[in-house]
Amino acid sequence: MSSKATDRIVVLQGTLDLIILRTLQTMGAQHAYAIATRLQQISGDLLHLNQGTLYPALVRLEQQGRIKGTWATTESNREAKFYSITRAGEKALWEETRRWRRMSGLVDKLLSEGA
Amino acid sequence: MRRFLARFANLFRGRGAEREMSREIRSHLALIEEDFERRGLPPEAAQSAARRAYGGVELAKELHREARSFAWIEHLIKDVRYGGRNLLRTPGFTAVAVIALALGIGANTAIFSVVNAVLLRPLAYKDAGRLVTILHYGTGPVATANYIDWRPEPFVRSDGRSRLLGRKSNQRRCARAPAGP
Repeated sequence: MSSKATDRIVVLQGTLDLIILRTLQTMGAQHAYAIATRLQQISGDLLHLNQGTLYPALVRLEQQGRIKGTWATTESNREAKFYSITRAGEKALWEETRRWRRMSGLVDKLLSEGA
Repeated sequence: MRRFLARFANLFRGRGAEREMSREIRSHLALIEEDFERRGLPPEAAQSAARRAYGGVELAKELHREARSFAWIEHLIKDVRYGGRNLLRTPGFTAVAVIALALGIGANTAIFSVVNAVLLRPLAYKDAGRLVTILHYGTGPVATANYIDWRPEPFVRSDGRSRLLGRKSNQRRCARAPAGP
C-alpha cells in the first residue's frame, strides 16, 4: 500500500453523517456534488471519498428526518437535488458534536499522558 | 423507527425511488462535468473525468438501494420472480417437478395419517389399555349377545356377596343367580 493511500483519512463510520450535517448547517442547502467538493476543499484533499459513497449517508439522514431534499436549479440552470438541514437535524448535530468532543478529548488525554 | 417505516415504504415504491436516484446521479455527473469544462477541458474529456471523479456509478446505485430499503427483501422478491419466469419457460421440467412434489407430499401425508390414527393417537375410550377382544375357539370373535350372557354378573347381591357367574367361557347358558334372598 502506498503512503499516499495511508495518509488519506478513512472516514469513520458515523462521522460522515456529522460532517454532512455540519456542512449543511454552515453553508445552507447544497446538492451532493457541492457537499463532496466542500469536504475535499476543507480537508485539503486528505479526505478523499468516492462521491457515490455520499448517497448512503444522504439517504439515511433523509430517512431519519435530519435533512430534507428538494429539487431545484443551480445558478447555471441545471436541476439538482438540494439538501437542507431540518430542525431535528440541528438537534442531532448538536448531540453528535458533543459526543465527538468528549470522545476526541478522551483519546487526546490518553495519548498525551505518557509523553 | 421513522427510518424503518421509510425503508419499508420504499419496498413498494421501488420504481419511483429508482427513477429519483438515477435523476440525482445524472444531475450530479452533469455538475461535475460542467465544473471540468469550466476549467477548460473539452466536453468528452470532461465527461470521462467526471465519471472518474464520481467513482463507480453502479456501486453508488447499489449503496443507495441498500440504504434506502431492505435490500435483502428486494433481492428475495427478484429471485422469486426470476425462478418463476424460468419455470414458466420450461413447462416440461416444471410439470415433472410439480408431479414429483405432489406425489411425495401426498404419499407422506397418507402414510402419516394412518400412522397417526393407528399408532400415535390414543383410542377414544377410557382406559384404552384394558380393552380386550374376546375370541371363541374355532369360530372367532364372540357375538355381543353371547358376551352379555356370559359376562360376570355385575350386580352385588343384597346379602352383600358378589358372585361372578359365567366363568366357564364355553357354557352356553348361564344360570343367573336369583335376585334377592
